[in-house]
Amino acid sequence: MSSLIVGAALFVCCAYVGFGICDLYKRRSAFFDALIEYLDSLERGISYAKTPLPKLTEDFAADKKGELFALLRKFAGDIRAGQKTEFKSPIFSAYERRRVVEMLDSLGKYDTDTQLTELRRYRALFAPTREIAVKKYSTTGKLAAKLGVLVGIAVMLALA
Amino acid sequence: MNDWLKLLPEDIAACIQDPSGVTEIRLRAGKKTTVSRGGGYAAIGRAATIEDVRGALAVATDRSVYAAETLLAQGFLTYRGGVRIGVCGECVYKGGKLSAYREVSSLCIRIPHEVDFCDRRIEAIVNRFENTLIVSPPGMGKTTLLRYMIKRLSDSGKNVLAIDERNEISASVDGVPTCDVGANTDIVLFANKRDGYVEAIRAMRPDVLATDELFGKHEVECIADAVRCGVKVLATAHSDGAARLLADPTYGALAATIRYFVTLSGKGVVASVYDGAKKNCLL
Repeated sequence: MSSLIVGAALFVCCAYVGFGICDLYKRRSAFFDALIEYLDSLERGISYAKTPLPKLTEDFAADKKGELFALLRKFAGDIRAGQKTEFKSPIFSAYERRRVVEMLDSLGKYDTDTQLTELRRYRALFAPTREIAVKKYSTTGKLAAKLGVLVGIAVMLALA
Repeated sequence: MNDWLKLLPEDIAACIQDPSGVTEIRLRAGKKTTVSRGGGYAAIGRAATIEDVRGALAVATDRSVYAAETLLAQGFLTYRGGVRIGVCGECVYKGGKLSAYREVSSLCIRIPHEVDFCDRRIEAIVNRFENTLIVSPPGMGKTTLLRYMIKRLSDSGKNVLAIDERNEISASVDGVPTCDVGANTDIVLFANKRDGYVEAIRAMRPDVLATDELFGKHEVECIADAVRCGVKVLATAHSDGAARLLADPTYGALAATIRYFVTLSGKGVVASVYDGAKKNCLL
């Protein structure tokens, strides 16, 4: 009976780790996906309506869940407070965090033509990162989830 | 209060002791920032960088420089509290017209001050108001006196219509004036004088029309048109004296329109008030 309980507990742990790794890849993928979407929406908002950046950002991030949307809501607040936005999420490399902060820092400081050029430059910079993140989620991430479950089952059977 | 300090880099802003007396700041890339308190300029802090100038523009536009291009193309921005920011830098032309500044390298930040003009000549004009022109070189307080007179006329029950081309008179934020322009003042923001006169006079039926910085024959004609419509006019013009202004062929026509010429000789100091009808100065 006790080995069955230990087996079940180990199964839960393995599955938890597997799904945790999968979730990490999923969050990264969703982040970069939304980031590209944000850059596209900025390009539209700046080219045509010339909507101020805080409003563009708040509208984009309103009522949405996810790492980027939380960051953007903070960014819009920081603009109004005249503060620089920090980005500290551990699921991104130092290089990625630096680039994201740089991108946010470059927004709203230029005339339309220069701003659009900057947006396209950052889009080109983040597009390969997004592709890799999406691919890693669908391969490594999903595999980690499956492996977690399988290893859990194997451990449970071994203890049975 | 002193919101304009946010325009400056923190270390430079920290060098300004007693910000309440500051009237103007010059921020130039590669040069030391200079501060004026109504007299000369004093250099403070380190040399500003192009990033500092860019940062100031970003703060002034709520991080939306692209959205302020129309104003920037006219060479200025306005910030909370009636602060006016003149810009200078690399111009971008589209279709032969100045469309934007790509790289702004210098800023002239002018901080307005509400002054109580305790001058009996100004009180006399306000009490029996006739067409008035305030004349002085730049930086002597024309707009401050204009705002003061608008407030006084407005609070005395006259409907004043202010054509605020550069948002300097009312310093409106989201359409609401942040400077006290009186109880009965309507503001037309960012309109050129012709549109402001034609549309607003028709729509608002003002007793007094107020506007800043008449420039060129076209605007002098606008003033004459407004007076012809039966509206009293309060305006300002750049010149070092009423006589010199009226001797200019462009502005000479104002002699037939304007009754009082108020000349300023220093920050908020009324030098003389010439009564065009009586051909003498008020005492």
